Amino acid sequence: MTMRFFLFCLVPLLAAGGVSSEDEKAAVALFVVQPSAESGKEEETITPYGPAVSPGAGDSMIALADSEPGTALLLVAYDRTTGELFGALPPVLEERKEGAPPVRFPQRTSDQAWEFKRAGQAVDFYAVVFPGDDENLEIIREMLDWLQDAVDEDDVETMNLHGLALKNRLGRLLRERSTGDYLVRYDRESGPEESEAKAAVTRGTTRVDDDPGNLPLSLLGGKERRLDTLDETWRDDARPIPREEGDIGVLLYPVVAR
Amino acid sequence: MSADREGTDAEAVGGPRWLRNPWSSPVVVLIVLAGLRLGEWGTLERLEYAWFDAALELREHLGFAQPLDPSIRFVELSMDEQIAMRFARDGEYATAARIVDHIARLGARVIALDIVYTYGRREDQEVLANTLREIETSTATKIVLPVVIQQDSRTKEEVLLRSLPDAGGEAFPHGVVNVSIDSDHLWRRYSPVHETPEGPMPSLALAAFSASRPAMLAARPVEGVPDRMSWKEMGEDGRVQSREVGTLSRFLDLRHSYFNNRMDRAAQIDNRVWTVADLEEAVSDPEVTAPLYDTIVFFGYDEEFDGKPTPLGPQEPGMLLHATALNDLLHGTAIGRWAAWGDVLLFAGVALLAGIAFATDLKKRWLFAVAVAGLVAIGLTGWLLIWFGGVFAGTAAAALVWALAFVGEVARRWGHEQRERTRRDAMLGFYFSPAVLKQVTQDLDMIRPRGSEVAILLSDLRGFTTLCETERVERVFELLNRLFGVETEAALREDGSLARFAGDQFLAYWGAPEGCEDAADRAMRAALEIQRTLTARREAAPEGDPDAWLRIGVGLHFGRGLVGHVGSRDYRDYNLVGDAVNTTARVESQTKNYAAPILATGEFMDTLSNPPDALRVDHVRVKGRRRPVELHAVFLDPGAVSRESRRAYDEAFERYARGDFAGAVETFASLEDDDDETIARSASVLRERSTRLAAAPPQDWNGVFELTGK
Repeated sequence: MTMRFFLFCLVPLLAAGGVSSEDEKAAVALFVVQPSAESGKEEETITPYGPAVSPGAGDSMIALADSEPGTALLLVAYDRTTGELFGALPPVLEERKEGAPPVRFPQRTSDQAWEFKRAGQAVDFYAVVFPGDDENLEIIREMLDWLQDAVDEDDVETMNLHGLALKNRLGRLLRERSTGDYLVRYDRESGPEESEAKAAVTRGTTRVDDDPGNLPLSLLGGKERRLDTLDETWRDDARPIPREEGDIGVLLYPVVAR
Repeated sequence: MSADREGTDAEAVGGPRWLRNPWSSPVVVLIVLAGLRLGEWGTLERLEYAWFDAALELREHLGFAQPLDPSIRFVELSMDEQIAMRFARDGEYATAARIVDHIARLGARVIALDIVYTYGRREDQEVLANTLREIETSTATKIVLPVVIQQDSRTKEEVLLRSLPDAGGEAFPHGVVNVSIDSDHLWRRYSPVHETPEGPMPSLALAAFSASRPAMLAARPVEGVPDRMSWKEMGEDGRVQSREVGTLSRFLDLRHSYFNNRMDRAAQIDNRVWTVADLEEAVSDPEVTAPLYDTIVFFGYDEEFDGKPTPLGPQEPGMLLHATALNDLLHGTAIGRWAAWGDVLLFAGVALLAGIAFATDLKKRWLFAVAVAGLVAIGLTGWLLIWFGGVFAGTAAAALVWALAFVGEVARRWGHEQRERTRRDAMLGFYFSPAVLKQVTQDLDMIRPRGSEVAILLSDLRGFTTLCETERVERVFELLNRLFGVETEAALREDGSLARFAGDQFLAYWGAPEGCEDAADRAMRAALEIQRTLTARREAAPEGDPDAWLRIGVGLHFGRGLVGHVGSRDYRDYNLVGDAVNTTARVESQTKNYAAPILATGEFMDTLSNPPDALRVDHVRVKGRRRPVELHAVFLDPGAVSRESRRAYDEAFERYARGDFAGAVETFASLEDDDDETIARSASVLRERSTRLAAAPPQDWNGVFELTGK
């Protein structure tokens, strides 16, 4: 009887503990990858993207994200100016499993880079967590299959059509929320300088836990990371994706190249 | 004799052909409405608009309407004191530049200006143009400028008023802001593409729509058809679909008024409409984060300055129309008006259904129910087409076709019934007394063929054949008409029904088509009245007057007769037929043998509740009938026959019936000189017969003598 009672109490505790583990909470980290300035040095410089660090022309970015087992994680980047998928990078959708490595964008198997060609290039990067049983998930999975077909056929127009359809769907999800709940505005410090006509415009700040006091120090300090250990260390530079249990969680990073 | 001739002269008898055709009304209404639809449609189109507006309003009340897409926002410019001061201080163009810059700073994806900045000085235009250019180069916000097609007051030709014409405004995407106005002076239609003096141009909504999409997916002119623009979309099944719009205006799916943000609240869409003060507060508040992020913002004057009457209200800002058109482009919800031929086909379908309903000859209450159900179905179908099909069909006019067809059908039926009634009255009036006719016309089932127990009166003019041979035709007919006048009047007075006049024969009956409990009594009274009247007329007739020939025999019988219309399509007659009629005729033919003015059968006498003075004169089997009948002579004057004579006749007849023919001969012989002619003649007939029978008594005598002649 005592043993049974012990097991009865322990199992839910263990289960609950598993779910609430900090290591499994939905989070995303963006890194700026700069080619080495020193000649002969092969390694790139990897710095967490934050208020103090933004990509410049010729730099690229990678994103790592994870969420609770049983959920699905979508990472996608759009060119804000053209509305197209940035650099024709296909979105990444992965169902999360216990112990799986973090999701990477661009996909690990991809040879495409998320590279900024010029200053002022603006990207909207979405990190979205869907509960495993979310009704949007099946549709998005289907859309991405179609999109992949277009990628395989090198049909850019169709790929962008699917990208737009996905963006509109994400837009609907976002519009159910206030911008302050999902928008990460690091770009405000790294965007182009204001024109004279905009001098009086005061830029807003994000409410997505954007207080510098709440951010990982690495985001403020621009601490360098190594690509080969990024899978282990990325959470140090990650921001949680705000999400109610059983609901969709989303973070949107408008990134503007220096 | 009356006759009903149909078909050969339908118009005279059954009314005009159209009055008898259930398709008349639907066809006439269809022709009229189709003609109107293809020709002058103004008034009826306003009816359609009202129906259309009701559909959208009802949908909103029912809570099925969706708000405008959350990505669509408005920034309204109210010409209040503060703005007026800014205009005076900074200039209109600089003020506008500042507002647009605020919108861009708050993250808008597209800013569509609904204010045409055309007439400002070049340097003023430069201020605004420069700001717009900077926005486009330094942010992801796209700018769409308005252009107006208007008529030159001098040349009366259409000209294009572009925005910022002196500051390079043509480099920005432009959209035409002209909106169609309907015949009821409301704004509810929108052309996605406009023909302009400079070629086809997109509307402001289509230009904003294009700007909101990746450049490669923007709407483009269709190759070879420049006034149509197309773009690609992703279908539900993942297939690429091409959508196309042209200059043909479509109806806006107006969801709710600019001022009614109830649906926005329900959908938790905050800050749909921004004032300039709201914008400035937002940009100056460090806590506010890009509230217009990824939105399409229309910037225009408020309703005071740019109010247009729409079905939603008397003064809705023009921006709402463009925004609704954009919403329709985003969601494919624009409502297309059916072409005229589509409406005509719809009318034809409705008329066809109406015709089918009429042809089934529904009863009035069912006709009314079908009319109401049809109206509801048509109206509802129209609304469903608008709500879910994006189709605006001419259902109000179709409902009108339906309703008018039914009104026409009711009128046709009424007219037809009136004619039928008149015809029936005219026809049946010959057969029935007014009282019976009334019952028959109230229940036409009564004259369906049926078998009934009837009392039959049949008369025949004595010596008619001789008269026909010796007298002038006019006198013969005069005689017949006098005779039938007397007989008809007497029969109808007793509510009898008449059969055809066949030569000099008159036939009346009681008990059909309506039942009659005292049928025999009525027949007897009629027979007595006829004979008494004729006797009186005969006795009073001057020398040579046809009344002197008014001598008839009347046969009365009670039995089963068959009544109904007999004849062909071309000639028919409501008549009484059957064995009972034949029996009555046989009985009538015996009246002269017995010198009886009225001879009634035993069945008839048994049915009487008030028997008259009568004497059973014989028991015979008439020709053509197996069952024997007793013959009763009815005396016109009660008590005219002495009791002794009656007793002697009865006694003689009893002997005769028992087969004591010799005994009967003696008594019958004693009565041959009786004062009453009927007694004398009957006794003579029976005496002669008894004498013959006494000489050769039949082996199987049962008291019934078989008559071999008619």
